[in-house]
Amino acid sequence: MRVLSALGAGAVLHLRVSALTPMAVVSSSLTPVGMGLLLCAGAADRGVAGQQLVSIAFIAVWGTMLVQSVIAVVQERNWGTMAMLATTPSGIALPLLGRVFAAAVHGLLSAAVVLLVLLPLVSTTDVLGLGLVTLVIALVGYAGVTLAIVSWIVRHRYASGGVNGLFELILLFSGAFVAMSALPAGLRPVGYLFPSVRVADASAGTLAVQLLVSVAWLAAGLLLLTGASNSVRKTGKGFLQ
Amino acid sequence: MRQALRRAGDVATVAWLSYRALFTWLNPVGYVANRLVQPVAVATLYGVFVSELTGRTFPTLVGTAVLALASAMMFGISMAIANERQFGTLEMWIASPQTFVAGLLARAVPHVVDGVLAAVLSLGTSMLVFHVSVPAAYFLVAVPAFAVIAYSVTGASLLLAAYAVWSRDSLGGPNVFKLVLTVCTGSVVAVSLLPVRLFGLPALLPLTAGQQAAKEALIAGRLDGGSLVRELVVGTVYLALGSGAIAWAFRRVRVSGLVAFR
Repeated sequence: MRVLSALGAGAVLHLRVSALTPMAVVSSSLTPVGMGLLLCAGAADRGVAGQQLVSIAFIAVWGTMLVQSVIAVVQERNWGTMAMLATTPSGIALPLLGRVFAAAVHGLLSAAVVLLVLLPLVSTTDVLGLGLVTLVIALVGYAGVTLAIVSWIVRHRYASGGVNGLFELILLFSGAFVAMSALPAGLRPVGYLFPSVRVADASAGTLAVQLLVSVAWLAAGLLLLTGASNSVRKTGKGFLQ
Repeated sequence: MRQALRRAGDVATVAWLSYRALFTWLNPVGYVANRLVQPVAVATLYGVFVSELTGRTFPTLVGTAVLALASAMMFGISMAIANERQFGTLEMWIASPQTFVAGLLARAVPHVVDGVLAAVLSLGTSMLVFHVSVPAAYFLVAVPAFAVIAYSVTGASLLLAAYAVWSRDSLGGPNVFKLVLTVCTGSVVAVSLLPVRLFGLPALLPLTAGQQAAKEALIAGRLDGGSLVRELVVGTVYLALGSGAIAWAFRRVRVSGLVAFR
């Protein structure tokens, strides 16, 4: 019960704060719209296909989740509430987990809006069923990636600025824009560390592997966040370095 | 003469302090990620994507280098305002007799240099990744294009800085504007390939003509005078609008005593 209460408090707070900064909401919805327009380049004649819809939904959800989660940590620091949370029985991890969850919900809403806007352009939904499965599996993994990044900036206060560079870098390996085979050869091995939203590469076998990779990321993210919370509570280093 | 030197010294001190505070040099993760990793990641992401789409990579690599320059300047100058607010020095700056536009331009200087470095690094690294080579003389031809782009983006950055004075949300403005530049100027993908019609919007934006001139210079080694003039005109309009907006925001703050209106 105590766990749910801390998670819920973090989630509710995050949604309230987001409502207070509408530019952040607009910005998080515009990123998938802008990137979606690029992804659909050349589709004026042939129409938008299933893969493009899956990629746009992925960018909407993960982009919002990542950016807002990082902002959540920065806000808690700036408000002075992170130090207070560290001393409460719940620690930092649970309220932050709640905020990451709320950011994901926010991302899902953004995805729904963006997909509705793009609906008139859609010509084929051939891979949409398989695409949805691929998307859900990938998002589980990218939630883990987000938690790992959040735990990094909980431990290192000056690392928050570093996240800007990570978004496009990880997007490169996600399959949202291009297939792994199109990447320069030197970059391909890194791509296998991340779940892919490439529907063309999805089969029963590859989806099972993707699921394993995603669950591994989620477990690692949860462990890292718990570790960061404990470290900050015990050493206070997260407020210094 | 002595007064001019002292003034130049003041400008340099303000610029350096503002710049040093921005990226927290004690831990340069933010700098490396924003100025080194991000431009190269963007160039690789869009380079591979457009190569699949059209079979041509190099125009997009030039376009992303131009975007790296614009991004460094827009975010840097907006963040300069945000940091003054965070450190509690915005009020003192506003109350000081220094002209706000001059103070802001002083803070902009390091970001122009930084943006040029980001553009060079983005282009250089992506050319290595994609095995593209360009005659050295072409880079000299491209210098006026990048200079005019820096000029027009300075105007746009002043507008965004005025927004950062007016609002506490200093990142929303540059984020949205960067996205608009990425999609609507043809830097990444030709506007004609987009699935929606943009009507006259691209012509009203900085970078549309400038990136065309930069591509012409680096791909064909030609100086595209028409595009340079168009970019110069758009930049001058933005500079006038930006200076006016900053002056307006400055007056509003002084009269009302509020350092943010939302």
